[in-house]
Amino acid sequence: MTAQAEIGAAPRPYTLIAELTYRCPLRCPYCSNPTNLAAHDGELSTEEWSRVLGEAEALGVVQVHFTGGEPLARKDLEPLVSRARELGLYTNLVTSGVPLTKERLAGLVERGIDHVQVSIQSARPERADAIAGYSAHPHKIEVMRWVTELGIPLTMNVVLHRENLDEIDELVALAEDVGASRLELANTQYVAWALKNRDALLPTKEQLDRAAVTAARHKARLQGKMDVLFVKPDYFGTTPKACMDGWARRFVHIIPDGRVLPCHAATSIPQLTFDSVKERSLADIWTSSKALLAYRGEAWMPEPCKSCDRRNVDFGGCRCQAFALTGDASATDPACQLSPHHRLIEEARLRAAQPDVPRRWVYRGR
Amino acid sequence: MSAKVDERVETPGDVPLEPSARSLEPSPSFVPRLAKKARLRHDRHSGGWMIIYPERGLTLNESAAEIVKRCDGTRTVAQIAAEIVRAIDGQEVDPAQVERDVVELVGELARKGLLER
Ligand SMILES: C[S@@+](CC[C@H](N)C(=O)[O-])C[C@H]1O[C@@H](n2cnc3c(N)ncnc32)[C@H](O)[C@@H]1O
Ligand code: SF4
Ligand code: SF4
Repeated sequence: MTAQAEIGAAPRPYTLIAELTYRCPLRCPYCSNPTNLAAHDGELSTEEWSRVLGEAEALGVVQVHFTGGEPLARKDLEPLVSRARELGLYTNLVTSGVPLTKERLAGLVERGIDHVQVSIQSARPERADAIAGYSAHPHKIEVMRWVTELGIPLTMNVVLHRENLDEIDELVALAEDVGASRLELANTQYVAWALKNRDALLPTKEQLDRAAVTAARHKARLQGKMDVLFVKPDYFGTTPKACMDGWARRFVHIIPDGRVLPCHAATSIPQLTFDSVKERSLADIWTSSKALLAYRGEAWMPEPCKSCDRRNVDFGGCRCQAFALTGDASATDPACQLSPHHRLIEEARLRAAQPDVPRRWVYRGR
Repeated sequence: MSAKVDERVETPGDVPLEPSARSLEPSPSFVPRLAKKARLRHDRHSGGWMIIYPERGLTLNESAAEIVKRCDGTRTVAQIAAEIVRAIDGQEVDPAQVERDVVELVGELARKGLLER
């Protein structure tokens, strides 16, 4: 057994999440991109991303997810894929499939894409387009078929919420039909746009339980054939998720303007100033950026986390959720039943369970 | 998108097989091939080998790496075991134990969906 390489005192990052742009033609009301999109411009250039990919590999990264926004909106996705592959990185494209032609996909495959994840909004075309705020569903199905035809392993991604949580059977059937090797059924994380739309998106407990049982049945049936992942929403649990496997620990996340984050949502915490690869090297930022050090490890933890057995299992949960709900990013994640703020989660759940609560979606802006 | 790249497979492993997974326990004549979504990669940082796939990675110890390198769709489980016994020639090895280790690891990979079906 080989020891894990550590870079100075900092842990080794294995995965780079490269958000190439926040631009996207779709308008999913659960979108995890920031709600103040207008305040984000000045995307990194091709040369800057190329440099950063090299710096990431040197830091220990073995895998890159090209995502966004819609990564296909970047005309230089091709050279970036080539660059990632030259570096030996496992290269994953996370996409809505819009806009994409078969020719462009074949070109990306030729450059060495290892895996493609396509997100759909529902198994039912009309509902899917209503959720996306854009007409794209039939095209997405076609894109998924192209991916499998070209011999590239496909993950079908679905964000689950009140409107589509009853569709598990249909979603699984669709994933099988398009030849996916993985199906990721991820319940909505209530950050960013999803938090704005929480009343409309939060499911009922009954819906969720039924969906979980159905997904487990398919998972067992398809074992060894298709991976079925069901990611539970932490609003219905007793302990929070191990958000990002710990703050700035295994994942390094770079947003379109070059700032280095522990996760996609961290710019929502206004007290933190994130450093940009436009000004400093990635290694320098990873080891010494104040914002990355803020919640790395355990020193920052308050009670009840500080003396809890689970502190190196869930790392106290999500800092962005703690901030969004309590106003204090260093609080225990309210999704934890031991959090003094846990009632905020219970109240949100009860509120959304009322039949007459308004459920109008606010679509993601541009 | 939650991912991990430091989960480890150890072999010889003593992970108890879940009942539903028993069907995936390979026979000596099974010909394993790494799934196309998975890539075996030498890790220049640790000097070891890893399997990388969409949302996870496995760090392999030396003996696991020797097995996985041979899961290329051309050899049976029995052949892989025999090659490994030859490769560690000179040291004391029990061929039956090596074959059990290969069966175990290949079964583990199959359960993780890391073998071509
Ligand atoms: C932000 S999107 C960017 C890539 C591309 N536009 C897409 O939608 O696939 C990355 C992934 O996160 C998922 N996602 C978006 N908002 C989410 C949320 N609030 N909770 C969980 N997953 C979310 C999307 O479905 C997609 O699979
Ligand atoms: S989640 Fe929807 S709106 Fe957000 S980037 Fe992806 S496709 Fe666009
Ligand atoms: S108290 Fe903190 S460490 Fe313990 S389970 Fe809750 S969030 Fe996790």
